[in-house]
Amino acid sequence: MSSTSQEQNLLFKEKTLVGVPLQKVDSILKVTGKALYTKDVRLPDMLHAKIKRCPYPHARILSIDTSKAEQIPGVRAIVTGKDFPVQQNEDTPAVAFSEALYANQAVVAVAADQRRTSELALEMIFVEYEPLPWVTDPEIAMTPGKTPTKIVHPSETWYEDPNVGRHIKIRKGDASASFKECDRVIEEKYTTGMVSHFQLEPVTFVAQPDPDGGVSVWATSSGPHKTQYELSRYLGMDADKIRAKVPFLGGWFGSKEECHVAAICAKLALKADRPVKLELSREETLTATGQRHPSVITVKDGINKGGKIVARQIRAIFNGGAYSSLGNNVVINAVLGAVSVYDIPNFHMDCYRVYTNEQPGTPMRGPIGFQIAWAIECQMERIANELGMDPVEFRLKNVLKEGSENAIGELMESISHDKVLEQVTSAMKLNGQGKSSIPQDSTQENKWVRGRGVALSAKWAPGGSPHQAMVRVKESGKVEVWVDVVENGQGIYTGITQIVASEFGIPSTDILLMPLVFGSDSSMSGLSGGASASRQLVNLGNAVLEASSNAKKLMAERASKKLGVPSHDLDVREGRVFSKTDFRRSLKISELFLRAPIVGYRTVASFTEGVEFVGYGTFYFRQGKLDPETGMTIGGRISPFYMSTAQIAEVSVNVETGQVRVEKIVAAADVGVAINPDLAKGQIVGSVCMAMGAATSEELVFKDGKIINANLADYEIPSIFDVPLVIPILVENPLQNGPFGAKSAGEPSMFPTAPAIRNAIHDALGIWVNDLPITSERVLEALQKLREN
Amino acid sequence: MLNETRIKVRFILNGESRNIECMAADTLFDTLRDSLGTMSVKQGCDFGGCGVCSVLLDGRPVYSCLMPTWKVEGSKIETLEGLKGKELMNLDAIQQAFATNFAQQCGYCTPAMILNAKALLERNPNPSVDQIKDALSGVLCRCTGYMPIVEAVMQAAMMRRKKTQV
Amino acid sequence: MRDLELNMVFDPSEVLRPSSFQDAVETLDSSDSKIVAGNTSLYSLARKGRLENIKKLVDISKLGISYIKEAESQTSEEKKILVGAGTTFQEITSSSLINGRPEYAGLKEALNKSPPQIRNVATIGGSICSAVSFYDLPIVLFALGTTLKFFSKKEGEHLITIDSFFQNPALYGKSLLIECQFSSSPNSASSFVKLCRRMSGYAVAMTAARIKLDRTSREIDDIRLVIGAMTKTPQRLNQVEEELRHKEPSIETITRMCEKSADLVHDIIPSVHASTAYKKRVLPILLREAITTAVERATER
Ligand SMILES: Cc1cc2nc3c(=O)[nH]c(=O)nc-3n(C[C@H](O)[C@H](O)[C@H](O)COP(=O)(O)OP(=O)(O)OC[C@H]3O[C@@H](n4cnc5c(N)ncnc54)[C@H](O)[C@@H]3O)c2cc1C
Ligand code: FES
Ligand code: FES
Repeated sequence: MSSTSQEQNLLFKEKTLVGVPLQKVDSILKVTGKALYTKDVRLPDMLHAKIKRCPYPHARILSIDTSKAEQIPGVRAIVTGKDFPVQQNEDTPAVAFSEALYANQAVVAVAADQRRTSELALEMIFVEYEPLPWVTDPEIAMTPGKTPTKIVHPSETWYEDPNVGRHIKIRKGDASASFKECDRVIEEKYTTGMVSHFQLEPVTFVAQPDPDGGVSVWATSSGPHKTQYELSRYLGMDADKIRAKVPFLGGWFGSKEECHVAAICAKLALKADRPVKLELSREETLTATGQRHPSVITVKDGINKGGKIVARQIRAIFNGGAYSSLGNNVVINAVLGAVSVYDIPNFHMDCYRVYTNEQPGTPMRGPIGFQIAWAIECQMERIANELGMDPVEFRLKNVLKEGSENAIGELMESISHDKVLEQVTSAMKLNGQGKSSIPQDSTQENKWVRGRGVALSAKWAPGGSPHQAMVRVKESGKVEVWVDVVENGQGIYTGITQIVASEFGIPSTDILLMPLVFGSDSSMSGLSGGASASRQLVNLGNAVLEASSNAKKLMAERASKKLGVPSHDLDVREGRVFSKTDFRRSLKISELFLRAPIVGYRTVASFTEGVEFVGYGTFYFRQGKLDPETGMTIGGRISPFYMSTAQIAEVSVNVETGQVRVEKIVAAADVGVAINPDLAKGQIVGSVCMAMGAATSEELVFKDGKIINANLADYEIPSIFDVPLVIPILVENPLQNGPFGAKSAGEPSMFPTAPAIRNAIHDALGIWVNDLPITSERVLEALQKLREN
Repeated sequence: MLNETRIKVRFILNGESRNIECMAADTLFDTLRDSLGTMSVKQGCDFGGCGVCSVLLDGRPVYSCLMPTWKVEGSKIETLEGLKGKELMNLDAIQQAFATNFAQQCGYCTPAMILNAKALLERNPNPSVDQIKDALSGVLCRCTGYMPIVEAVMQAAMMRRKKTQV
Repeated sequence: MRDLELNMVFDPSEVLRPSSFQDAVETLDSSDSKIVAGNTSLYSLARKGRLENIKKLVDISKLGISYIKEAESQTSEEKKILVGAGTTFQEITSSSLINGRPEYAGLKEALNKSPPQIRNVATIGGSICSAVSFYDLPIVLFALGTTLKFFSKKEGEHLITIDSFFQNPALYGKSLLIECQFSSSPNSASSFVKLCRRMSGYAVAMTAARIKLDRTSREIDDIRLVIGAMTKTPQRLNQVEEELRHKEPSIETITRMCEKSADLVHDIIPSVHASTAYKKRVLPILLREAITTAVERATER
């Protein structure tokens, strides 16, 4: 934020919308059912597409016979791997070419007049396979000599071990040497399963051939530009001829980055020369699109007498599935998650993303960091317990301090680790070491035992993607905002509206947010990295602020002559251009416009001489890299800032059945400045409930290389009966470079929930569960083990 | 190949009488979206359970994705398109409460949540929290954690009660 | 290679609406017809590709089998309730014949577990005739000792016990279920206990109990115990029942007997996140809970 606008804020404090719980600008559309989602897009003569999928976890495709299907009346296009430029790399192909590498990978797609005709056509397509050996366990896949299939991707071996798509090393100090000198060394293994975003709107695309030979695609995607550029690659078509549109998203959470599926839809449309809609079923969304990476994480810590961790060694293995997709890139999050909370002088880490014959892992709300936070916060509790230390005190003792450097050499600024911990503990007291002081439910002979647990984490917001914005000031003083901003429910339309409205000191109703009208559209706005990795508000927020200030500059220049005031002394707010030193010297925005009749009509239009009052802004945080040997950052930070978050969970555990009931969670998160506090709280509560599902019941289970529970009855997301009482606490520690000081709120609160629940279970019963999800069966098993010891 | 037999069905949709033709396998969901354009009816699953396809059949919520179209012959169907209030911007009290209580994020579950709330409040103007939870239990929400939705229904109930007292 | 003429898509062409039981079973004669009641389970089968050969859907809503009433000849000892097979869950739970009566408390518990959208259309007949062990309602009906009135082409109207139905449900594939009858006597009560992964949803394991206490001695006079979601079809635990009959229902006795139950059940099917071993471990606990609840309810009367 520029210093002048900070001054303005002081002057016009009452006019700012920052910090106001403004009703969501899209709420009326949503409560009236008028909000348009990709699933609702209907075009004249639209065809319906269906995909035939491979029934084996790994198979060679010997032949595909589409001749019978082609003869069915109403079948308009069929595509196979041959229709795409051959991509011999590790990116998910649109359609399998010669080999299918995971069960349910797309093999053929059909578009027909009616859905049922496409279904029939699929049944009439005959594919001959040769089933091949497969592997789904990443630990087996990466062990030389152990894999049944030598390598999932024979063409590329980037790293020393088989099937390793990415290996990141951090080497700070000497961990192995320090272990020898420590009082205590504790090593534990933690695992997490495959979890689905389960956004309620399944993955859907609509494609329409454009008159110029290009194609328009409506996509359930996190960013139209991402879809545009990816499609360009998949189709071998000039990006300028691809128009990607993202209407409202029926939930997102990192899902729907499925450009390879969009490519199928676009190809069918181009081939049939008609619009095509491709709607994946829930089962397809669960089995054939990316999910959260399963993980196996070993944490080894050396602690000295005073309870200080002097050395930590982490080996984190992520099951990446058959392709890279976005996965190889997100593994860096394991590093950011591991280095952002505790200050450990000797820190060694090895992260691997391993190829297996499962569907490709994809980012999901707090990708990879969720898994790392699970491992680390479980481990922290374990150590505190073994040392007999208070879990909060132990964490505080080891936490990174403001101004210190993390293990990859980034300066930790604007962090609130101690503050978030303080906030949650003052809202809900811990019992301290299994000494349950909370009232137990005595009516049922204490079958349900209560406990409380804590966890602390931090989330990053990687830069890297440029974000652009344009604003246009109208004669009425209203401001048009042209940005590619994707509303997935997080409230970004409202956030951006509040930011621009505050910058111009006008009511939110005077902001004309164009995506609210047209949806987000790659051909109408500048580049944006889309809604991912907790960066949209900060990045786009900064971009619109810059665009606003540039538009203001143009107006000031134009007004300068009229007012006889130098333009640098002028500002624009509340529909006026005025001198900052003498408020009386001002004019209405409309006075900067000329008016002319529209010839032949009775209307009069307004216009400006020369350029319009249009301002552009670009926010681009150039991301540094990690040194491949030491893991230290080179050429700048990876994450411009970190967001602290802590939670305390209270649970009831049934000692007979192992059932876990999460009763209450207090969740504190540092959001910088809450542009809209109710939206920020909504993100916290939503994250906690989603993480609670992953903690207690959600997991896609594989048997014989295939998922066996890809439906709502067997993959259960929390219902209205399951969610705990969540008490969100906003901690405001303004970010210097954030728009009005804002950070973000969409993901951080995903992290502490699962370990806090697990630590609460330990508090209740003295058992340790190291594997997610914490099923009733796992609880009972742990109890059994405890009794036996 | 595929059969082309059509079945004639008459029903009332949002107060308007409709005569349509459907296939035996068509569900009310297919008919409402493909033929009648009531796009507020959403889809989120394959075999029922997510609830975002809920509509009111003679005043009671049903999953339209499990309801054969031929079965609704002679019935009254309500979707969110039919919900109108006389207040502010033509919003019903439930819609207003959902808008002001941040009871929707992505909004994909919202039409179904509102209809289920309506079915409840018409029968029970003063529901307890447990009754609200029961009434909404057939719709999933992945975004909000449900609490704002329950609060919105409580508030709507209050608004409606006030209106009838006047 | 597959037969190319075979249509692999669910594509029925006709809806038949018989108005008599006779007409209904005539339509069921051919292999390509299927009864549709509430349709909540039928279309999921269709979407799983299991009804490809069905061409005729048989709508049973014109048969007048949605009702719930007391049988005409009632003794003071036994009260019989008749429920038409087309009666919805919602109609049953809101009936004054069921509400507030301990003998049917288990029934109400089972019915209330499903979401309103299901309760409003799903029928008691469809729930039984689906013949699966993971639906709640049939488990309680089994425990209540329900009598089923079927109509078939060969035998016309006839009564069978729910026990014999669940022994071989396939036998009744071409029959029409018309009515469910269950009776209650003073000092009897039922209960239903379900373990799910979430607080709603399908059971990982469940048990239902119906218990009649002797009016004077307060011993268990009669007991029926049924488990669901454990084996392929719902199962009665005759041996445990036998051991508890004519015993005083003390918590110790109940617990002791229940502990034996796990070894008596074979062929337990695992579910996602619940192995056979786990199901075995929780079975005695659910059973104990069901029995003690039913006993409490019967005692309160
Ligand atoms: C989302 C969802 C949630 C559910 N939750 C629960 C739950 O919590 N607990 C629970 O117990 N169940 C639950 N169910 C299952 C539900 O109870 C059954 O689907 C329902 O009972 C079936 O009844 P129906 O009338 O819809 O049967 P239909 O689907 O119409 O028919 C089912 C089968 O029975 C046959 N049939 C129906 N009526 C007759 C008759 N009179 N004579 C002979 N055959 C007949 C049909 O041919 C068909 O084969 C749920 C289902 C869904 C979709
Ligand atoms: S679409 Fe999920 S219940 Fe109908
Ligand atoms: S608001 Fe997104 S599913 Fe409810």
